[in-house]
Amino acid sequence: MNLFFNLAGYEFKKVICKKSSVIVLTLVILISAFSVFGTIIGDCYYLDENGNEVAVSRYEDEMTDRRYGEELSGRVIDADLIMEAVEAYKKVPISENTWYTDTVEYQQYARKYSEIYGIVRRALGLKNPEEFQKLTREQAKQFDEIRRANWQSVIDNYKISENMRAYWQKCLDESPETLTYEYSGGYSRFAAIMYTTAIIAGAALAILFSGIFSQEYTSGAASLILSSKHGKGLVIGAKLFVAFVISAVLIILLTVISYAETMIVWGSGGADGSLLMLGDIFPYNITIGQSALLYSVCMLAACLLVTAITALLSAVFKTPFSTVVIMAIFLIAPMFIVLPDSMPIWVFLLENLLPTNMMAFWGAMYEFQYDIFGLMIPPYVFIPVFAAAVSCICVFFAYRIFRKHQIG
Amino acid sequence: MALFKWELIKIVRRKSVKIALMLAVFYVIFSVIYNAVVNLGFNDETGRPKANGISEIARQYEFAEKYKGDLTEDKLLSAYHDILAAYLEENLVENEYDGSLTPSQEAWDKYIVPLGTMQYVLRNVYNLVPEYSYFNSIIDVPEEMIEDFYGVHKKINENFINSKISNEKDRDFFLKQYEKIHKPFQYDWYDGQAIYLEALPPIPVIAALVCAIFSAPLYASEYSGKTDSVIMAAKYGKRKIAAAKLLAALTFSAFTYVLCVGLYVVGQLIFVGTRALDCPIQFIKPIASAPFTIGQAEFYQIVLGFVCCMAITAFTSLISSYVKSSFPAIIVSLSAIFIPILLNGSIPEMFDFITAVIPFMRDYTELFGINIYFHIWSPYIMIISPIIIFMICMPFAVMGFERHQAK
Repeated sequence: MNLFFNLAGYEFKKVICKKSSVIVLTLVILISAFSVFGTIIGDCYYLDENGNEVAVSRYEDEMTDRRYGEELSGRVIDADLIMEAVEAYKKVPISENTWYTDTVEYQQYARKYSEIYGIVRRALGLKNPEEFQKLTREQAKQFDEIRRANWQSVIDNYKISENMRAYWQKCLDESPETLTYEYSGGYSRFAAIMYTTAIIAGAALAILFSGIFSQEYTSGAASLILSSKHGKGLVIGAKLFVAFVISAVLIILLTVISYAETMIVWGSGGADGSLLMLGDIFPYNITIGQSALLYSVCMLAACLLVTAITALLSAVFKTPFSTVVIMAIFLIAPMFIVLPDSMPIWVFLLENLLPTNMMAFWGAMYEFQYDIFGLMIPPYVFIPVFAAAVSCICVFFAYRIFRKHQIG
Repeated sequence: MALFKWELIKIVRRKSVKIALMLAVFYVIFSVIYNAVVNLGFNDETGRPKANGISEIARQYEFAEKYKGDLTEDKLLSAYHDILAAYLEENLVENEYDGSLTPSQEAWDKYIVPLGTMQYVLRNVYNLVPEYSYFNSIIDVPEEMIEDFYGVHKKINENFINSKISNEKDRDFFLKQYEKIHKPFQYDWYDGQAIYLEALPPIPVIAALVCAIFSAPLYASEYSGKTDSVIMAAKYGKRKIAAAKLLAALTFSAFTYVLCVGLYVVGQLIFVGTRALDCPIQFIKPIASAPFTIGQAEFYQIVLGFVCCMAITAFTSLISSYVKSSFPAIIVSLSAIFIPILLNGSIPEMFDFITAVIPFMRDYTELFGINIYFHIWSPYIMIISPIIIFMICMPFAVMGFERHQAK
């Protein structure tokens, strides 16, 4: 075992001590650390009581939303809260020439309730703020009833398999009768930022490990390694072990950086809020905090899959050049593919198994499940399992190909 | 000339180049067919394809005959009355999802479907009038307002420009630009051209990727292959060889770009023809002051893609001349293409200018915008910047090879 770790230590140095690795890792960590600030640098403009435009820094603006959100956090979205929001919206003038959000009254009274308005509008199918202003207490009392009836209607009418229908029905039956508002700005920013960070990290892993085997071919060291005592077993194992350890550490580090930054800026509140706060229908009875954790696991699995595929390609190709190009296309191409809604659900489920899509929050929390012999598996469970299985296959073939490599 | 020819042959013979070019062509053909067959297909109320795009294109052009040409008030009112007819009480049924009243399938097929993109021309404009912006249809817009379509269009554009731009000189630039828009608008069913225009920007990125693949080893492969000492000692001298290499790379870049974009445009012309290319871009997005037609916007995107591709080739060649192997060159080049695209949404507004300068960070949609930097409209900067990058990188790439010391 000691020998294995000694070999792993050498392989670790070989990967990390390269100038290109240092540059790539530094860049990825810097991009991850600074991407959070992209949304809070600069100014935005509002009208004051006298109709003059005043500049407010984006940070202050975000903090205002946070303050408003936190003030309402923990309150059940019931008739009382809805009517409080309605009363605030009633003070906002709706005119032909001005957007209601541009008015001073909106900033003063209604902005605080904008998320409540959004949730109620979606549930009750309101067309505009005018209809919200006219909402009665009787209608507000029906909020939960209508919200759940809409969900039931989707379950009854949507063209899905019977297994999925039963799964959705179970989720609806088990979901809480009422919704409690929780401000979750930190978690929504975390999900958005991590997607870009994970893709960049995936590209960095492809660069780091594109030469893990092929550099031995190009440098001619493959002949030495393969003819040495442990060359056909432990050395290959050590290479793969190091690749996965570095990948896991990097992704965990980036996740921790992004999580810490978003929580510091937008607050860590909202972890106990229902996932239904983020959309009308999420057939998963988990909290926002749990969804963030599950998403992080999916992202880690996706990045490890990238490492495994890179290792396989590195064993196949004679130079790292081809591996890097293929991996770049593999990571970026899915971002250009937009499938029309008319495609069958299974096409979208398959599309979500591409590493790039696994790295997205909406991929992990996709409302459709994988039907495996009648067993309905949510994406946040299926994605890590699938990634682990494919990674194992890639590792097996990478191991085999390098082991059987014929020195030319 | 002989050197240039040999360098060109060297590029063409590389396996990676052949595979990359083949994949790029495959993507272009796939994109052309996908747009025509899937994206332009007609879906029924469940979202399932009811007709493939090819028959749908012909059907939509037939429907559009009624409104084709000058978009007059009579035509607008006629379309508006058709929408009203679909929303008459006897034509409404309860929506099975949320219980709201919507036109029945028969009414929809009879009144709305034949309108084609005419319904969007109306809806897109009136959705921008604050009072009607939250409605799903335009049935609540009064008839007098429909009659004043061009007045409303002008007002929303002027309001937008006045509210977003504080500098008087810049504001005047856009207000004058708006005045140059040809009215009445030329109408035809424009969805086909719009979808092809929308799907065009990835094609130059793909072409640039191919360019990066063959440019990365341009000089670096000579260093890593140890052939540099032979080349440097040859009778033609360093400069001629370096220039021949660069010229070959640029020629092949141009060929790659013309092949990819040419195939795309030919495919577009085969499936949707030339109709609607003279429609204004304001049909796609009503808030736009540029007096451009859809055809001109596409031409702009093609030119923009070309200069970006050439800039990427020159930049990759420059990197290739200074690094020891093609691996770092391809990494830097791929990063230059993709990292800006990935970071596009997360760059603070105050650094907006940078996104106009870096190739591929923005596309033809900038024609709809009113971004102006140092009193220069951003679409101009987007074209000029890659040309400057190209001009700077070229001599330095040659110089990098010239100054290289073979070991």
